[in-house]
Amino acid sequence: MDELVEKIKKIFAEEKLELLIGYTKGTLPLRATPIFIESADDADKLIFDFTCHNNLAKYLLDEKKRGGDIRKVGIIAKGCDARAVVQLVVEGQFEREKVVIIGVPCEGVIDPGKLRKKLNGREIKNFEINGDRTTLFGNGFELELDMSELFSDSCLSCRYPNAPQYDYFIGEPAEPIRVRNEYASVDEFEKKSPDERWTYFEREYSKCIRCYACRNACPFCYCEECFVDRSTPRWTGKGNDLSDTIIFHIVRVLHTAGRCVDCGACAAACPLNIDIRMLGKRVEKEVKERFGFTAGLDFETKPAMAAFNENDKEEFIM
Amino acid sequence: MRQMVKNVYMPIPLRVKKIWVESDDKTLRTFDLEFVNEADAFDYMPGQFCQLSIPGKGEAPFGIASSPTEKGFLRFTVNRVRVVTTALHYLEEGEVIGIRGPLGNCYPVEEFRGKNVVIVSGGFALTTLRSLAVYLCDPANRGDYGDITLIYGARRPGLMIYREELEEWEKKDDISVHLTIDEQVKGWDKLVGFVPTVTKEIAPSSEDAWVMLCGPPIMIQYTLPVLTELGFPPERIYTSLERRMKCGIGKCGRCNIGPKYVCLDGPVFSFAELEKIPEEI
Amino acid sequence: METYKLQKGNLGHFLQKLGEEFAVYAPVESDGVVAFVELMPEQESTLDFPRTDKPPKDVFYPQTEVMLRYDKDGMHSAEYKGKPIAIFGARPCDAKSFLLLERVFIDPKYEDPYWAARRNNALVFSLACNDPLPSCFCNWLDGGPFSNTGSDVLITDIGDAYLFEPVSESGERFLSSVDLLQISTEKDIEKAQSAKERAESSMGAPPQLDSLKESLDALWDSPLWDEVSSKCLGCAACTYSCPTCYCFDIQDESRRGKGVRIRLWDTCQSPLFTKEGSGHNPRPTQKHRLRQRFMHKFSYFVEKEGEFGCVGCGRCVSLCPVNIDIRGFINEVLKTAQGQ
Repeated sequence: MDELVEKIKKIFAEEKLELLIGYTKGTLPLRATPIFIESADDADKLIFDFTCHNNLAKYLLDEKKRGGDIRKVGIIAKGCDARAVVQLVVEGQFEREKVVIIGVPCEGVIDPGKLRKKLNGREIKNFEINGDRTTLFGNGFELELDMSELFSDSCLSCRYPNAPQYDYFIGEPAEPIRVRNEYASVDEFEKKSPDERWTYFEREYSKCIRCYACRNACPFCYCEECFVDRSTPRWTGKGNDLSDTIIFHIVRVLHTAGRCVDCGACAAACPLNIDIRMLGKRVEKEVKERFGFTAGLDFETKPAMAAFNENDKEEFIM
Repeated sequence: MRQMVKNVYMPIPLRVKKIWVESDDKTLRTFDLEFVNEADAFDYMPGQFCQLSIPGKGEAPFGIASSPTEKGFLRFTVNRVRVVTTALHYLEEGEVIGIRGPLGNCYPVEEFRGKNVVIVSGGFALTTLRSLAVYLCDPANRGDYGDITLIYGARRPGLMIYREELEEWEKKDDISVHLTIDEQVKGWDKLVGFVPTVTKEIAPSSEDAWVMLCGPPIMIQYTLPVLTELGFPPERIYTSLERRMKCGIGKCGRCNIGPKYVCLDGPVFSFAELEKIPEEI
Repeated sequence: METYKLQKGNLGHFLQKLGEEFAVYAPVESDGVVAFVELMPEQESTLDFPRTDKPPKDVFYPQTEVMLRYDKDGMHSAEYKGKPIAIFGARPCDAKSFLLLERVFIDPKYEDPYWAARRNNALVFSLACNDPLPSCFCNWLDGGPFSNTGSDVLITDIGDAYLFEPVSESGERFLSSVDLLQISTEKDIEKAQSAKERAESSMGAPPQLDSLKESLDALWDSPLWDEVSSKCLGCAACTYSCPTCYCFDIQDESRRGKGVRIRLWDTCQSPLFTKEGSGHNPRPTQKHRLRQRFMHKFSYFVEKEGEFGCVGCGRCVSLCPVNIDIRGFINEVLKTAQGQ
C-alpha cells in the first residue's frame, strides 16, 4: 500500500494531475469505495486490494459532464477497468492525453452481492485472510471460505488481470487465473433446452426492480437519454412487468455488444444478485467468434460494432 | 366502515367546446372546455391549475386561464412539447377528455383587497394571470381593488396570447394595459423592449401595491431587481412556479422545491417565501 | 393486555388461522432471495431472516399498480378489493415506516384510495430483532430493535417459542380469538426482556440528531454535497430498497382503445425526474439529486410531518453499489456544523 501511495504522489507531480480517481477503505467490512483526490497530499487515503470491485472508468464520463475544462485525470485501473478506459477513448468519449492510466495488479475482487448471498442475510463485523482462504466473523457466527467463492464471476474467467495499455504500472503484474475456456459458463448453459433457458431467465429477471444500478455502474452506458427513459416512442414500459424488464436487459446487452469488458460492475451493483452477466457473456463470445474482436485491448483497433470489414460473417444478409 | 371518498385520481369528463390556434408558429392552442355533467362543475380561484387527462397518453398540469366569473367554460392554453400536449393539440371540438382539479393555491386576492395590483408577465405565462385580471375587473369585484396595471411582453406579436382580448382591454379604463415586444416589427405601434426594461420605464408605484410576476426564468431574473428598486418588498411580489408534475396532490414527490410542494403549497408563492428556500426555482 | 405465547411448532397453524381472515404476507425464500409475498396455504415463512433486501413496502404499495382502467366507456377505478392484509414478520423499522408513509398517503386533504384500500384494516405483526445487523441504525431515529411503533402485535423469539405482545386493540382482538395461544409466564417475559437488553446494547450509543435538520439547512452550499455525490451512480438501489421512499410516476399504457393508468415507483435520483417540458431541469446534476434525497429525509419531511423520514433500517448502507453511507454523512454534517 505504501508503494501505491508513494508512486501516486510522484505521478501527481510528474503528470501534473488535477484529479485522481482511486479507491479508499469502505465503511463496511470487505468493502472499498471510490475516492476522488485533487492533491497528492490526500494520496494516503488510497488503497488497492481485493475489495476494490467498482469500475472507476465510469467516472471519467462524469468528469466530462461536469462542464468547463476537462481536467487531467489519473485513474487506478485493474485489467478490466483499463480496458474500459481504452474502449472509451476509442469510442471518442475521452481524450487519450487527458487520462493517465495507472495499472495495478488484480488477483480477483469480491462481489459484495455474492458475500451477502453467502451470509444469507447476516452481516460480518470482521474477517481474516489466510492465503486463499478467509474467515468471516459476525454476531455469534463464523464462516470459513475459499476467497474464490466470494470473487466476482467475471474474475473467475478473467484473461486480462493487468491493464493491457497503461501509462504507469504499480507493482508486479498479476498472474492470470489459468482459464482454459472463459466462456465455460455460457457453453454449459447452452446445453440446456430452450425451455429450460427461458425458465432460468424468467426466474432471474422477475426479481428485477428496474433500479438501473447495472446500467449506471457500466462505463459504456453513457447515453444522455437511455432508451428505457424515452416516452416518444416508448420502447418499453417503466414498471417491473416481466416482458418490459426482459426487453430492457436484452436491449442493453445488444447496446453494449462488442464494448463490454466483463468487469462485473453490473452484477456487483445489482441489489438482488440477478445473473446480469449471462446474456452479455454470450454476446461477448459471439463478437469474438464472428469478428475476432475483444474490447479495450489497444487504441488502434476499431470496435467490431463500429467498423465494417469485408470479411465479416454475414450468413443472414444476402 | 370506510367512508366513500371521491377518488382523487379519477378525472372528470370534460368536452371540448372550442379550440383555436393562439400563436403564429402554432405551438400554442387555447381550449374552451365544458363539463359533460353539470353536477361535476367545480368552483376555483385565479391561480389554480388542473390536470388535463387523456387516457392512453397521460396527464399534464395547466393553469386555468378562465376566471371563475366567466361561467360555462374552463379555458386553458397549451404549449405543444411532447406526448400529452401533442395529443391535446390534435383534439377536435366535441371530443371528451378528463380533468382533475382545481388544484393548488390561488393568487392572494384576499390579501391585496383594497390595494393596487400590478401584473407583469411574458410569453405564455399569462394564462393564470388572465384569470386574475378578468376576476379583478369583473363588476362584482372591481370596486374592491385599486389601480390594476398589466405589463405583458412577448418576443413578437404573433407569440402573444389572448392578443385580441388584450387589445380590447387597452380601451377599457378600469385596467391599464401595456403591451411590448422584444424587437420592432412592421405594423406594431406599441411599446418595444424587454419586460424588465419596460417595467422600469413604466415604474408602477409600489405604494400600497402588490405585484404578480409570471414569466420565463430569465424574465423573472431581470425583473425582480427592477421591482425591488421600485420599492416592492418580497412579501408583496408573487409568482406562479412550474415544476414537472404527476399526481398534482402532493404525493408523488416530484414537484417539491425544498420542503414545499408546488402542487400543494403553491403554485403561487411570494418571493419572501421563496427566499427562505435554498433550492433554485 | 396480556402477552401471549406460541410454541414454535404451532407457527404453521397460527398462520393458517390468520389466513382465514386475512391475506397474509410474510417473508418467503425463493431462489436465494427472501421477500414479503402472499403466503400460500402450506407455504413456510422464513422468519429468522434478519432483514429482507426489499422492505414490505410493496405490500401496501406495489411497485406497479393499476389505478384506473379505461375503454370507450370511460375510466374505472381499480383499487384493491381483497381480504384485509396481515403483514407477518416485518421488523420494527418496517412497521414504523408504515406510519410515516401513512402521513403522505392518507392525509386529510387528499386520501390516496389505492394505498388506503390495502392499508385499511390491515394488521402488522412485527418481529423484534434479537440480532441487529451492524448496518442497522434504527436507534439513531427514535427506533430500536424491540420498538413496537407501528405494530399491532410485537413478536419476540425467545428460543423455543414466540411471545406475542398485543400493541393495538385490533391486535388484541385477533390474538384473543386464537385458541393455540397460551398466556406467557413471568419467566417468558424475563427472557424477552433480556433479549431486548442484549439487542439494544449491541447497537452502541447513537449520536444525537436533534440539531441535524438545522445543520443540514445551514450547509446547503457546502462542498460536503459535492464530495458525497461524486461517486453516486444515480441508480435507484437506495430509493427502491428504502421503506420510507415513496416517489412515484403515473403512466398510461394502452392497446386499441383500452388500457390502464398505472402507478409505478420512481426515483428522485433519476436525471429525468424533474426535467420539465421546456428542457429546463431544476436538479441538473447528481449533487442536486443526492442533496434532494438526504434533505427530504432529514429536513423537509421534518418540516412537514414533525419527524425524520428515515427509520434507520440500513438497507441503503448495505446495498449501495459504491458504499455511500448515510450514517457517515450524518456524522460529517453534525461535525461540520459544530465546527462552524
